[in-house]
Amino acid sequence: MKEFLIGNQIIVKAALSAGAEMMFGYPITPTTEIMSEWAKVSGKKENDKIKFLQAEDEMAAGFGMIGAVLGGKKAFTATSGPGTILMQDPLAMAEAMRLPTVSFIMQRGGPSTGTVIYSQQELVLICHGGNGEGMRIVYAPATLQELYDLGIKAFNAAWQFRFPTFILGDGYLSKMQGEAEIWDPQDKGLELTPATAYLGDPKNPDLIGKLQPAGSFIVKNNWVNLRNCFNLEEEIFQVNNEIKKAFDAVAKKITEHEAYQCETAEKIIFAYGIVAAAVKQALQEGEIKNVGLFRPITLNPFSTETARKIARKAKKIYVLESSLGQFASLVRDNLYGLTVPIYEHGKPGMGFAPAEIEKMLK
Amino acid sequence: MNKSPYPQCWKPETKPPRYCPGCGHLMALRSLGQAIDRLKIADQTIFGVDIGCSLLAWDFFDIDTIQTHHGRTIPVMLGLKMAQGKKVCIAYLGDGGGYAIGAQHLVNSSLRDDPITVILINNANYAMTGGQQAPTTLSDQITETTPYGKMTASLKGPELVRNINPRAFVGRGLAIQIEKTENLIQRAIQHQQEKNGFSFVEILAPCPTNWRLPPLEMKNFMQKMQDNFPIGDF
Amino acid sequence: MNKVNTKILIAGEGGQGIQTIGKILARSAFLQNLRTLYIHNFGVEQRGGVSIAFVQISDAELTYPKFAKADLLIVLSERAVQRSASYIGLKTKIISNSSLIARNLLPANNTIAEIDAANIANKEFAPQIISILVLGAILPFLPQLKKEYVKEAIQNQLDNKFKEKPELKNLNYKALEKGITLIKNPTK
Repeated sequence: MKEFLIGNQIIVKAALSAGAEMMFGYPITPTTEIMSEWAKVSGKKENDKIKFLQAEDEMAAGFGMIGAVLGGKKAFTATSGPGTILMQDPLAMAEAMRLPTVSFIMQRGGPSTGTVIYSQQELVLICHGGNGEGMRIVYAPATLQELYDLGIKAFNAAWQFRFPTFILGDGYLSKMQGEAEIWDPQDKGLELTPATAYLGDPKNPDLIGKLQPAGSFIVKNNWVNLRNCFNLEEEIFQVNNEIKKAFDAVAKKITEHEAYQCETAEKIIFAYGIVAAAVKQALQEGEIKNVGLFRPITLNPFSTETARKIARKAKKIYVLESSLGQFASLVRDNLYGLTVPIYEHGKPGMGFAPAEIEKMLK
Repeated sequence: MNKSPYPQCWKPETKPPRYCPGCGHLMALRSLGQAIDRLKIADQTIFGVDIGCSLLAWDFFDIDTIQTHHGRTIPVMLGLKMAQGKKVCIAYLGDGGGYAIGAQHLVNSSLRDDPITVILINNANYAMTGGQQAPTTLSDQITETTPYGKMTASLKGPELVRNINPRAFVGRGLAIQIEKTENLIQRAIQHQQEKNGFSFVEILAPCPTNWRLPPLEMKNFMQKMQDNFPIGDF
Repeated sequence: MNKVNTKILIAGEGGQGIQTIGKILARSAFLQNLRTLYIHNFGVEQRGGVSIAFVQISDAELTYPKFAKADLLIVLSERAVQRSASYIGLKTKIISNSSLIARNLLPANNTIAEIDAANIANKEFAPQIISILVLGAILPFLPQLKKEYVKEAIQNQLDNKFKEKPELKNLNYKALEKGITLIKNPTK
């Protein structure tokens, strides 16, 4: 059913459609409505399985989410800016223990308190924050429809592959109002990955052994003891390599991108999220034929092979982002070795209007 | 019949325990183990441990256990309780995790009357990292980071919780009084089960390794602790 | 005016109903199965600052909520003129609230329709009805929007208020009609 909603409302609908039962959050612009909309749902008497906690800070929100996930419930959080910084504390634990948390990050101006409006300056924090190795699944929606579609996908990916999973959006996506098809997974025959408990009941203790890195768990009968602290260098070396191996194994199954008009293009623009949406609109409205758009849908894992294949044939590469190089670093990293010149154009805290992009290209 | 000298719910494979000789944690964990045995809730309990010496209890029990980040055990146990409402959820912290880095969680959890039980081991220092000052360090106590004494107040946790929450179960015990502390813990757990509300037990614990006091002085210091932090129900 | 994508910017003081106008316009387009996107400006100093609404109405898919230059600019206060200056292009048509904005503050070369919105609202309706009055004045510039959907959108937006005071419904519809009459020649 097509509905006329703001992004934050779409996030709530996606979570509910995906079978999420708990939200943990802290008020911060631009994500605050997600909490208030969720609270309206969870407060209804007939929704007694749907729970909500406005925690005392983002750390409590993130760790509460971890507790719920350990207890076998699909749980999520939403934050931005300074909240994303605090969230790295729980996210590092989720990363270390491969916990299927889902976080909606709607980027705002940084650094520090910055602005409450819009930016793309939390990419590094989300793809590689905490003190780990970036073993995180990161989806970047470009439209309100993708916010819904990928929102559902995030829960499935998290619980199927067992890595902290993210929807990396921005303040404009949060606050803009437009139409989205709010489809029911049942109608489309989409199976929702079930949640399973690590602690409590009912649990499958054998599953723990298959998921958790060596040395981080003890399973005895129906009792499970879990930790993320180790004693020896060799232990943590092994844990990191194990997690990386598991992540690389699923990367191929998850990686997604959009390549628009790239076959014959001389110039390729790399962009993600709403910036990419503006680029596509510019190419369509301006009828610009010799320029293509490469848009990662998963920022992590990145569609490296396809990106390189496309970039190799181009004469010029542009990287557009609302940051001063966070995305460009990721792009350069993945295109390393290619000799195509790369022009970075970054506007931290500000977006690119389609007309502006058209002008740049003409 | 349990022929072991240990409580039934203690994991035999990880014994003898790794705690220092004379450590208050070992006494408290015995009280906790006995309470769990008496209430027969080993299969109904989820146990969370903080960073520090409480971390050493991650593999201590034949009970579902999670080791969390420093100061974050309370929100994790709350999330677990929300997901597994029929289980008894216990957060096991030290004075650093409970009163410093995790203070806001203790304050807000008691404010919300969260149906979890918090057991806090107060040995007036950050023991695992070598004996730095903690919120409960006494005013003239010498620690690694107060080489000339602390000279400021010491935090009274149960009093704080009682001020925030009039309904909660709040108590302070002495680690060495194993049976009395067991009773305190048992009543705290029963409060969670029956009243679905917040329960908090602080246990005054000796830390011979970091207090670095000869035995007679240890006894005097424990008395000083009791004078500063009165034991009993609140 | 670009037939495919009409970019509308509405700017004024808090309390003049800027976001109400924006929301109703966007919802009207949605109800009519047109593509639309709406966003309001927001930020810490927005309380007490100028309120701005960005609305786009199109036949084709819309994905980006802001734009460089507006096709249609509606300004209701003096501060709003300064704040929205960067969105005025050569082809931007402007509807200005002459009750509060002097003609010489507006660019000389753009098509300008002045409406005495605040005064008319105060005299003939009620001060807060200014938003619906202005909404009416916008409609002649958006021939693709059918009035029935605008009225339905007004109903959706103000439903709670209409339930409390049923007489408001007619008052609002009257204000809408009055607003439409304030524009003599929209295509100029």
